[in-house]
Amino acid sequence: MIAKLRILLLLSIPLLSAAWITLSSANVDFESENLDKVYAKYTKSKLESTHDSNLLRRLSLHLRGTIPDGKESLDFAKSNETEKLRLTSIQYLKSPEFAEYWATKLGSLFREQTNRRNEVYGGFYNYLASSLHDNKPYDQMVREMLTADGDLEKNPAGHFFARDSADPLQVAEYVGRVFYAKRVGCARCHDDKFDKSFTQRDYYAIAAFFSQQFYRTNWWDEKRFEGENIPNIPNEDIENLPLKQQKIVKDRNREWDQTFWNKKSKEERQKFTEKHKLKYGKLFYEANLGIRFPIKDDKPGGDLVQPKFPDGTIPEIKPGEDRRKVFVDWLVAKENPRFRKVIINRIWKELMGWAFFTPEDDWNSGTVVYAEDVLNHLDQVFLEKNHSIKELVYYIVNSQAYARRTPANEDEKSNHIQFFPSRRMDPDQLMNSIVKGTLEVDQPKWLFSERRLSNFFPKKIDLKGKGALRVPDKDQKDIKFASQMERPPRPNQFLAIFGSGNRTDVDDDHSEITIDQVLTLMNGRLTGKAAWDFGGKDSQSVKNFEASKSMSSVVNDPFIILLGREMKEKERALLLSNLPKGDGHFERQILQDWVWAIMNSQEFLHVN
Amino acid sequence: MSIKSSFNRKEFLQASAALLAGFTIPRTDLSAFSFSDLFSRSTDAADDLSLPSPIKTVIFINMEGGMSHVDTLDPKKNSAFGRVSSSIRNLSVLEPFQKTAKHLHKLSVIRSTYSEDGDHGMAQHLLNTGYRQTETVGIPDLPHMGAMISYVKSLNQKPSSYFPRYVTMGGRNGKIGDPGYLKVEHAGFHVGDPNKPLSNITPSWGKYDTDRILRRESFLDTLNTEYNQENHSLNLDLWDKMHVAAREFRDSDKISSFDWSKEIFFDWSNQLLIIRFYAGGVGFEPTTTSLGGLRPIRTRLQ
Repeated sequence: MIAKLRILLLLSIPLLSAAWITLSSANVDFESENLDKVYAKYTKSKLESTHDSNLLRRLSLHLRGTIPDGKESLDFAKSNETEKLRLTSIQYLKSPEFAEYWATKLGSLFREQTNRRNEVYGGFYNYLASSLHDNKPYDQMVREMLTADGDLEKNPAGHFFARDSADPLQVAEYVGRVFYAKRVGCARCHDDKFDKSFTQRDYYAIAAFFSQQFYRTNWWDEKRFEGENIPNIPNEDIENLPLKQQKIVKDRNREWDQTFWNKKSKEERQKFTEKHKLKYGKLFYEANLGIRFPIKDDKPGGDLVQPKFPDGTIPEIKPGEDRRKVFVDWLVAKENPRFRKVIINRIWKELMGWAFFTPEDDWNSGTVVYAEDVLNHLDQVFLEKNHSIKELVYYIVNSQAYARRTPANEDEKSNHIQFFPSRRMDPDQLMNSIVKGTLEVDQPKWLFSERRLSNFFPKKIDLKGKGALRVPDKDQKDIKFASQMERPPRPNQFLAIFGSGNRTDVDDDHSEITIDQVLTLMNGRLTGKAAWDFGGKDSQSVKNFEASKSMSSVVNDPFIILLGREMKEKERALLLSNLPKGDGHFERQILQDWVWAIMNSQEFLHVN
Repeated sequence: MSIKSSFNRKEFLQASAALLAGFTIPRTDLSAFSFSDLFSRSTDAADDLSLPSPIKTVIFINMEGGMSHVDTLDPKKNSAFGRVSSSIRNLSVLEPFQKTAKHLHKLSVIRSTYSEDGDHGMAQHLLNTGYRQTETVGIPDLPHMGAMISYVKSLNQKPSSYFPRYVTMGGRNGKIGDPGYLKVEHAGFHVGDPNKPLSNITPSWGKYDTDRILRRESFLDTLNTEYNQENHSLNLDLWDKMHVAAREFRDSDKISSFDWSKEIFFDWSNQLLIIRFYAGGVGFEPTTTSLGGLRPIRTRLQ
């Protein structure tokens, strides 16, 4: 009886599971369908999807910055699981690779540099990657950066300000471009001669939001005037205090010099500065500070400028209130969709190959916005998803629009809305894919690291990341992933050759195709070593040959790993014609040459 | 730099205007417009673009940030310096350039450059392509400075295998080497490390004889031929052409001209650059220029 019950129970498990899947699927709101409905307004005909293994490869490159694992593409293509794309995208979004890869995108946007004096090594990158990994809402991330105070080690969000030494005029320019797509730099020196609505005073009015702070390195005595109602600020900032306060502060500083500093010996001064030494840069807030408008170059000393938002509205600020918080409240407010649309546009371009508007940091009265209904729709979704970048990415990649096929003929190649435009892998994708793809072959545990898809689709999606992040290491040894490389890379490094920028300007990576790049792939060290080391003693290739006694089977592996597909008949025929001793004889050089050819092929080099 | 040719600025502008006549960007389908189509239809106008001058070399130093024109070669009322007369009547420059002023008849100073964009990135785009960035949104194939000069200098030359007509150096932040719609033959070669200009002409890892290199390239050609039948993206076309050009460059008998070890002397500490560059058996006189710690981009014509 018990045995019968057990059998009944076992039989019922698949049935119950199927019922659960059906029910849970029914409960899941297929939101991405709404995106497709809006997207359809801009397409000429129904979108056709790319084949499954290519879709997985596209997804992996976009979300993790590398090709899929081993036979994952084949398994994905064979799977009948209806939720396989959604499940895989969740898996990818939770992986450390997502945070590592997208942190380099944000790093490029925010001009992050790994190794800067008085900053934590890799500190800004770590902050960005960790924030993404934790699925921190984008508005919260921006709020943390724009209201940062204190030591950079304790508050790594402060690296955003440290990048410009918290200079309010510099900060105003980059905040305008990065978060609001408004290029205000021209008005830094004079009224905008073409956009009459934006004056030099308007520029200073934005800077005024960021004028209550200063940045110190080396040393700073924070308790210099403790217990007194005297702003403790650097001498050079005194002119940015209200006039009445300037004299008081100057007098108190002079007194401090005379009664304290000047009486100390050289050794005592050294001891004092050592006591107040700052390990890293530190941001300080001082409510009384402002920014003074330069009436003329030769007559400085204008009035302290009142803050005004980039859209021209004037905020109500209470005395002593942190203006940066007032600015962020306005910036990330629900009523300010422009903030959201600016980042949506960047994410969309990465994933879809075209942008709603360009340049991405300049949205002015003459800007043409393409497919605006789609942008508006995504704005609503982003808002509903609590500014989660992961949720937005998830929403986009699960649409049919994302899965659209590449152009199959000359007539289709210019229509990017209808057909997915192939793009050369970016430097990070390329480096990661070459290293990963060629390591796998010689490391069996990687080669067959199939990831089985769960049959249970979760009702509530939790995209918080799992796993340790790989970040730049100061030794710069044993690097296997692009995320471990210092930015900006040196000019002769692989990443620089393929477009990783100097990080001196907003998003200064380039995507040009150059002769230098072709030669680097043909003969460079990275691809050269990867191909040359293939098929060595104890490698997976040798083991495969010992088991199969077939070169066709051996050469088929790099196709699967690097391209996510099996060899085609024509390719197999070419292989066999180059095997003088036949398919049953191991030819390492032939294997190496195929690996080289695959790594240089159009199919491998592009996100298709 | 002096340009003596029958092709003056006014004619250049007229020719450019003719090229652009009737040009509209298809806004509705967001297509990436290609200038190459336009160019192929405008061969008459393109033929007017010629530079039959004795100029052999153009050195273009792109200074991203530097001295203000207001205080150097373009006197303005608000300059901090006084004016000095130059060797050209009625033309003055500012005091810091008083020595240069004596040789101004040997130079051309363009003072009519005008931009409505007060922005470094946009200014780079305008300077290196001739187009305002905001007006060329959606046009990914604008040629850069070196490619344009290469084009007008080679109009009457017969098509040949690829060999770079110019090299670029320095950071790649600017728009400095992309041939755009002018095709790959006008692509420049970028030198990342001036002390080692060619590092990937031969395999850097392992030993390969010619037969083996040809064999692996036959594998590659098969892979690409198969794939190009199913995917016709614009970028694939470009990569394909660039790959052919790279092979031609690698196999060129002129490649020894890139052996700079005996031809170029770099002394970065003194910020002095001396170039003696031979290409195709044609020698060039030494040129000396101060780099001044700025980003140099040199454009050299064959």
